[in-house]
Amino acid sequence: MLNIDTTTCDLCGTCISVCPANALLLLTDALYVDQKCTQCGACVKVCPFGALSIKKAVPE
Amino acid sequence: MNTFDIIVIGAGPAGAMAAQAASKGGRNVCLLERKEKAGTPVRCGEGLGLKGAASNGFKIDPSWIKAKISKIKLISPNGTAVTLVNRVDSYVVDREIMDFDLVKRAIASGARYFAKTPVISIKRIDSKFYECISPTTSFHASCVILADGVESRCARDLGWHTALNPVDLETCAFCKVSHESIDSESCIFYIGNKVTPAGYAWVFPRGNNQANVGLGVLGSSSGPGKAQELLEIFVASIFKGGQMIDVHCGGVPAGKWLKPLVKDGAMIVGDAARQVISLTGAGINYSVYAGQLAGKIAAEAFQNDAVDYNHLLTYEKIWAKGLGKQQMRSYALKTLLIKKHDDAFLDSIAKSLSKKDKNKLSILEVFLRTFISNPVAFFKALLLFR
Repeated sequence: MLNIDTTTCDLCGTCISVCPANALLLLTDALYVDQKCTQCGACVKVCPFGALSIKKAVPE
Repeated sequence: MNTFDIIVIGAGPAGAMAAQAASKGGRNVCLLERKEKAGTPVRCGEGLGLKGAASNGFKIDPSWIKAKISKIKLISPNGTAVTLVNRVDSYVVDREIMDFDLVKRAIASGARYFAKTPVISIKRIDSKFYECISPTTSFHASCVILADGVESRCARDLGWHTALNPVDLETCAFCKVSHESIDSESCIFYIGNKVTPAGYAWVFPRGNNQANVGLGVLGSSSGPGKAQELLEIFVASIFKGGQMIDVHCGGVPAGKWLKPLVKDGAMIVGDAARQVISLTGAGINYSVYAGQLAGKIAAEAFQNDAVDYNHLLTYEKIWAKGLGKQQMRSYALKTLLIKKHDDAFLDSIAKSLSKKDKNKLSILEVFLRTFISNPVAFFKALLLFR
């Protein structure tokens, strides 16, 4: 799943501009990701502060 | 429920100008802003030229001005400086003051302003109304103007495909630096792959030996946290011992403007509409112009209580013929330059230009020189200005 480091995130919305799934939402003081996220990683690559990362689910 | 004639979403320069123009046109307007205070934190180099914006009667308030720019310096990868005397009225402005002043002008014209009001979704509820839903309340109107910035989501709810290709995005980091080497009248641009891949770093003075320093990395050459990392390296190498304060980040659209700009009763303006000079990333002028134009036309489109949706299309027609055309030229030049973005090439041009008298050197000559050494690109560039 997409992990948002809330202490690093500057709430700039650059991630939203490249998200092809419309899975990110910015409110007044936090960024949210919903289940539409396909974990494509587009947002991770463009985040100027490196606040986003994808944690792959480990198969049991 | 709150019902208005026109809802403007986003209170940056585009939205505030739209709300002001629509209110002046006699409509009942509300202006919704996601943040607690519009214009903060500043995510911008704060450079503003008067050309373009002035043509529409927009005036820069003296209280916004931090510095007047008389010189532009381009620094090539090996450090060769090319200096141009700036003949256009351009300034470094304080966006925090400017943005809030523009919101105050909208309020003074009669618009209702709602801060801390993010729009979670927007939908058409019947043939007449749009509904904008925020966490605490909802707003209804027959016409909506989307000015919700590079992070725009509202347009997607209404069927626009706004996701940017990373090659059409500059991912940026900004800060303020105080250092004795900073003069108060030169804007300096640094280019080269070592500084930042397919982007540039800028130093825009704010007076008192302080400057806005930032850089943009082309989205397709970016990586997690790369803009911030490169900015730290840049500041450490240019301003020895200089402290970075107010460090923020943001995305700047650097592609074509969004088509269409109008859908039924919805209009889109500013960064949300990707209305930015693609080559430089400058967007304040375009936003001010497009916001004002869209707001004025939206107000005109009301006859009694019905909106003439066809009239709204005038906004796109006027934009496409004027600044829209200029943006497309700039986009084509940017595309050519990205292909030629190798350090040795940039150094050789800077070397030949640096010997010229700076009073006689023009931006046009810089471009001509760049493209003459690449005849195919030069020919393509000429075609753009037919």
